[in-house]
Amino acid sequence: MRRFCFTYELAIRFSAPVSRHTFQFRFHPDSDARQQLWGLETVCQPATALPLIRDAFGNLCACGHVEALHEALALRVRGDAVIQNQPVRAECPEIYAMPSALTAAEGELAALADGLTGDPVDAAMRAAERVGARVRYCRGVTDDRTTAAQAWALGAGVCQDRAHLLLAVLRARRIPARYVAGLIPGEGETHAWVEVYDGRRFVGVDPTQMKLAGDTYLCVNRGRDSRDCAINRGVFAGAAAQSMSVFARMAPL
Amino acid sequence: MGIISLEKSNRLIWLGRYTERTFTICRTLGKYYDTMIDRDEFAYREFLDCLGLPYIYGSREAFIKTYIFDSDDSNSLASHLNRALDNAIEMREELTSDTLCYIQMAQDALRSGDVNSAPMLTLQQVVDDLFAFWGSADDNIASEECRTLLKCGKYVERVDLYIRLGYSFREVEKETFKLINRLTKTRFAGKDEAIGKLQGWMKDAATYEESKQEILSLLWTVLS
Amino acid sequence: MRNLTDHAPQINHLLSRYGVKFGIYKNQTFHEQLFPFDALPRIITHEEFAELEKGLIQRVDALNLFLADIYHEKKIVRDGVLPPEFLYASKGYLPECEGITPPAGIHSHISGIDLVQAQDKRWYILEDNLRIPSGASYPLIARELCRRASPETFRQNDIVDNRNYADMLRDMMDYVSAPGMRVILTPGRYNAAYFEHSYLAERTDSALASNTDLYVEDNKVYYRDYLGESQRVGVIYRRLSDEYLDPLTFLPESLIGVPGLMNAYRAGNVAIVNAPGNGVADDKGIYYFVPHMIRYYLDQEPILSNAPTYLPFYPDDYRFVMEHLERLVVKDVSEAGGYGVVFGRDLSREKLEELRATIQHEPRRFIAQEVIDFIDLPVMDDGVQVPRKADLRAFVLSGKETRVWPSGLTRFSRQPDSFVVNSSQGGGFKDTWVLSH
Repeated sequence: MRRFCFTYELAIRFSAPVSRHTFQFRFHPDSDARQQLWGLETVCQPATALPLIRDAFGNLCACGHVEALHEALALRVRGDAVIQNQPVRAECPEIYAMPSALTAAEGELAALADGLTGDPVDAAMRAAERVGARVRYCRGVTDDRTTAAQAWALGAGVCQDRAHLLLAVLRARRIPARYVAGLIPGEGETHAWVEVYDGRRFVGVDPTQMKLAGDTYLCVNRGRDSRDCAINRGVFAGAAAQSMSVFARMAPL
Repeated sequence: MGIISLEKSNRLIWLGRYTERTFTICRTLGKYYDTMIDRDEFAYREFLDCLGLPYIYGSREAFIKTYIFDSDDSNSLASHLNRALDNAIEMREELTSDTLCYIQMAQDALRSGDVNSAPMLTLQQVVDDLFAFWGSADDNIASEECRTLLKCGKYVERVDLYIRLGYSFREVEKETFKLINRLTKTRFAGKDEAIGKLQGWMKDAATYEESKQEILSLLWTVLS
Repeated sequence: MRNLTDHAPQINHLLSRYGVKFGIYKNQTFHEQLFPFDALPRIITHEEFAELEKGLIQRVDALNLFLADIYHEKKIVRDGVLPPEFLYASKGYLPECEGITPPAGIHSHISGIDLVQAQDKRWYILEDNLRIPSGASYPLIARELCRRASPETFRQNDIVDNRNYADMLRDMMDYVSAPGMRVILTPGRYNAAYFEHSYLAERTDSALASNTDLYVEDNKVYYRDYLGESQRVGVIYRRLSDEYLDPLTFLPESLIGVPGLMNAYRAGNVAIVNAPGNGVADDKGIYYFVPHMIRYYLDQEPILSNAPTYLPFYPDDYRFVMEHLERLVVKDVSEAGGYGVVFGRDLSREKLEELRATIQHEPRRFIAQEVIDFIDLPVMDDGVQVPRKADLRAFVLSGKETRVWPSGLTRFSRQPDSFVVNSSQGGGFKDTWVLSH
């Protein structure tokens, strides 16, 4: 059992004033059997109502609307967490065994799943090694629309791409697994890993750090792939370019 | 419905303007057409001057064929009527189908009109349909605010055209007071200032003559 | 009937006066044209309609139960009635709708069920349209105008009045509505069915809105007026498809959607008619399973039959389809509006081979059906009656109760020997009479 405090800050700047800005901010880690949250606080500038709603994958989502002209939008979340990481019995929706838009196992990828039998968690660790052996960690070569197959062809990517690849391989064998976006101790951006379903429980596997995701992993969003876990989506009126900066931090208490 | 969106308020105003433009031009053309029959076959040039339109029509016949009937000419009467219908079609639920159909009928009349022999009979049909449209609009549009916006558009266009087409001070004055009457019923922020100015300019014929340009510019901004 | 056909010119004149048109894209430009109307009605007897009514209500009730099940427990999959591949590979299944219970629990509020009558007078269901079935406005206004042009006809025949469609629609909208006004959301003037959007808005006393008139705040939908004041929206009869509905949930590049709408909907603060995600139930591939659904959810035998259908996805059906392709009609499950429909008997040897190869490559993409030799209806062509193929779209409304509109859209092919009746491909329409006894 470990205790942490964390913050997540998102700042969007517009090159010209915008109005009628509707956004969806998905950063509200939830308490469950593996992690407990308290003191969670979300602040939005300009101030607006942020009602929460649980989306189709069970993630909590804050929905905001700023009608008046504004040139920036800032969202800040802070809170404390106790992480136990004792996986408990859970049902698994069948959809996590099906390929998604970003995790289709095309061509060579399907072959990567050959011989992955036995315990799903072992299989996931072996698959993660196969992925890691080919796809080196490299920032800036992929983006949020890169598919598993494209990252495989590039031979490079970030944690998100490795998670997609691991999901593609597992799902090619009909092993249910889901994408997780969350935080690990340190400063910078969010992290991504995979939870594989072993028939009774979901077990976290991190194909970037090549280990089981233990009690230093704070889960924020889960879904079929990164698209279901997007932290921010927004639409506004106005001809403006936007630039976004993100700062995430998690530290032991 | 009791609520009018920004897009609808614009459509109502432009529907008022385009139906009025079609209507007043139809009637004004009657006057010029009569002159063109036996006195001055180029009388239409004066009409074009008033509206600031170029002499792209080489002859009386070309003027009638193109300016009245050709919807590829964006300045033509047919184009004004098409734009009226474009705005009306998107307002069916406010106008009612029974009101909307008169603009459709005016368009059908103009489209099937006789270019060669007696265009004035076609224009008469268009004028009749537009009269019926206005009558039906008064009767059928449930929301007073809708009717007010529609009529604001109509009278803004009418005063604008009357000034440009050289109507007398008395005629312009009469229409301006109809516009003022409509404007008082709106919720536009700058309406009181605009009404005050219009009343000042209509004080007498001489003031009016000096203020024409200012009136025309005010008309462009008063409904936004 | 003479009286009615004698008045055909007046009826057509009235239809054009009221702008009864539909839009069509030719070479990427938008044209509006009059929807050709034939004055000879399709006549359904009282007894025949009573049977159809029972069958349609049964079918739509089962489809609604299916949709509620699919977006929640998926018992039908767990119990082995529907193979999971079929669910998860269906383009119409939207995981984003998981767990949503729509207001009043209704998913398909307006169901357009397409039927044909075979030579033996049996009715067959050709397809279910549970997303945005269009067409009710055309027979609705046609009846109004026929009565005006030929009152005698309606004095002499005992025809059930069908002019209550707008009232049925409004009652249903009010029944499912959250607090607030009624809105019909249109993608705009350049939509094929724009006439229908505006006419139904008028007749149901709803505001016709485009997306820029609406916004979502605090998970509630508001209609914004021209001076910036707002009014709460309780129900949206939307005429744009799911993927464009909300750029925050579906296609981010959608410019015609209402951002945040799905959150307001999920929070139960607005009703969306029809519910997003219905495509999973009217998928041409799922069609095969509808009779199974009726047995599964209602424990009843289906009253109305499907056309005999084969799914190349199943090995047995695959073999059968490959062997009998020349006598079957093959439909691409991802296409709508009569596109992607191919009759094996019309194909050359090479084209048949091409089709076989395509099916082999993507068996899930196609269904194959026996060609139903459906009856011709008489159509007036230049003053002479000629036989033409016709189908019927029945409209079933689900609100407080499930009701079948006592009329429908009868579409006919204007070409002899053609089975394709869609308006987008040049078909015309007729009034549909249900006799009152």
